Amino acid sequence: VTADGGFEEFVRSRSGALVRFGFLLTGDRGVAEDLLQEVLAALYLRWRRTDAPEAYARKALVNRSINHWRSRRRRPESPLPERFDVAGPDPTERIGGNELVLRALRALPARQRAAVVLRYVEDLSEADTARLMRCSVGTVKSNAARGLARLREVVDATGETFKVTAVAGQRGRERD
Amino acid sequence: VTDEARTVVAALHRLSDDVAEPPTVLTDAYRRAGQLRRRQRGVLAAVLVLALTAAGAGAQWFASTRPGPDRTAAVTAADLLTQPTRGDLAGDAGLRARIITVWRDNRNMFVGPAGGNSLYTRAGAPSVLLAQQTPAGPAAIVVERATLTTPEPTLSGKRMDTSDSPRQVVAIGYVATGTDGALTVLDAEPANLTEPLHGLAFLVGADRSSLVVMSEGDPLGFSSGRVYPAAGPPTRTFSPIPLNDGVAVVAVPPGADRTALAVAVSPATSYKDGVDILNPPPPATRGKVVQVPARDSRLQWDGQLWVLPDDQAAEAAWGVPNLRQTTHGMTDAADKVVEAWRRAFDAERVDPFADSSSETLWYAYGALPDGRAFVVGDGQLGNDPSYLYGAIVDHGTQSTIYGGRVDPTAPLPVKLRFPDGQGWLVAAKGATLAYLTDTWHDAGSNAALLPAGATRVRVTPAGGQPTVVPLG
Repeated sequence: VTADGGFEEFVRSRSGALVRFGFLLTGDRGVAEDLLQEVLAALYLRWRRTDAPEAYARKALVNRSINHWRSRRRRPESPLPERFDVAGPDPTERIGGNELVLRALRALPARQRAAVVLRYVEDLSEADTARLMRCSVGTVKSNAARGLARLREVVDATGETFKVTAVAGQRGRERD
Repeated sequence: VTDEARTVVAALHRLSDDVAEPPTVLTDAYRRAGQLRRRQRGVLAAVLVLALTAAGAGAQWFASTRPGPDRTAAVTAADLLTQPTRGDLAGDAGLRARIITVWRDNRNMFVGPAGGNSLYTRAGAPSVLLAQQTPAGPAAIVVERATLTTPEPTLSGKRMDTSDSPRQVVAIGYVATGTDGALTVLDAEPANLTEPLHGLAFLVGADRSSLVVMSEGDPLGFSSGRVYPAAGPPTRTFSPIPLNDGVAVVAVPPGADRTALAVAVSPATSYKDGVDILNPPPPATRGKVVQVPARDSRLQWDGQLWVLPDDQAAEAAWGVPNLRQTTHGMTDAADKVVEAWRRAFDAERVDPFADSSSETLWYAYGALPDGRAFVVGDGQLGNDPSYLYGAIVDHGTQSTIYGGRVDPTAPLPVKLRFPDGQGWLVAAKGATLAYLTDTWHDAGSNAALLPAGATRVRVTPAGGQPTVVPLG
């Protein structure tokens, strides 16, 4: 245990997973880094009173990704792009599959992104997702279904380029 | 996870696989922890500023207008390092020495991690920028050149000064007199050498009732909060701060919400015109995380969508074939509707100095009697009450409508009169509604568009007694 009670070790070992979580919640790497900074700073201030720091950090990331707080010193963030329309000429000729999925992720409303990430990526129950998002189970169902459907449209459309391998339970790297 | 979800999950994992934490994550977390203390704000209450009373209470110096061109301050943080001490205690050598001592003894608690394991190293001698008497005792600002080590640029490349590592910063320390009469470091933060500053400001006193303001040459104004007119966007009135050698101590109205205070140059139109106010948490809450905002005053009507007067008329007005966007049996508002509401409640535009904003959890939308499209919801700035914001869209042109304050405990929380004689929107979740013209007319449940001639609404909650609410 270091002089700061293990905070430094926590940051070094968990911040990678947390920033990826934040990235999926926001669709923006820079915003995810900003949110992670804020969450880690808040965690630092309450470190000695926190029994479950990762749970605290994840919950805080969800809250902050949904509720768009503005800092006076932060430059206004770019508006999210309009919903990406996969119809028309093959868009994968212009941009890669990852970029298309990223655009689709960014185009989702924040609550839909959060619902998809919590329900399907984090594999939380609808009830746990509702508690984290501070909304009803019905809202979780609605947001998760709509968000998933939109992403699915893009993933399906870019399947050749993206070469998605759907294997139950497969994860590219340790996340939790 | 269903088969349908697996391909999406795999795609999302692939998308995030190359995302890694910034190499400066720990340094940044410590730095943000110092800044977070600034934003930890309590809620107190509202009167007028004593100092401003002397200068002419209520005199409107300027009012916040809509965003205009940004103006950058001429002074940078680096300039602070060479300035002489200002303030009415500047000549007190003994006090200056004590300020330096308390700063040196405590600086690492704030600028770097606690325990002296600082990531910052001093690169110069500290100097007292300000020494000022306040009702709470002497207060001061200390500045010191320091070196901040950032091992390498961040992944996003968005952070400042990532190209010069280690980089030089100005550590700005805020010192005040504690309740025990001893000097104490309230907070400190590093500022980039090139960061433009209009000035510095910090709250002192056990109840944070005195605002110490230092200007870097610009005349500054003080606003104690937002004012919500009966119709129209919230506004701020900035009263001039009487500066003496660029320094003033403003008595904060005892009722003012410290999160809503603002200090800015004139005319204040952008957040860049503002001076950040250091608002140290009261001792009882120091070290604790404070929710921002402290209270949620919005209508908790999560996910409610009321399409009025009916889907056919609403879809014609919005030009969207399916305003409820049903997917997998679940419904949500159409993107076009949501985006129109968000344009109406753009906090950056409504109040550039708002610390935070919270969007509506519900939407009432559809067609007005004249065929134009509308959407209404409620939004909250900072800790203020929540107010109704709406949009009327006519052939691609959008106008914003501002309703009154929402009271979640009222029998009829939503009561908004549309312009141009287009009648009323009323809403009370779960209630049966009726309205009075010459006789009573049924208006369905939850939400309704009422004609301009309606004078009263009868609200009957499920299983409850009816209440008659006057309109107008």
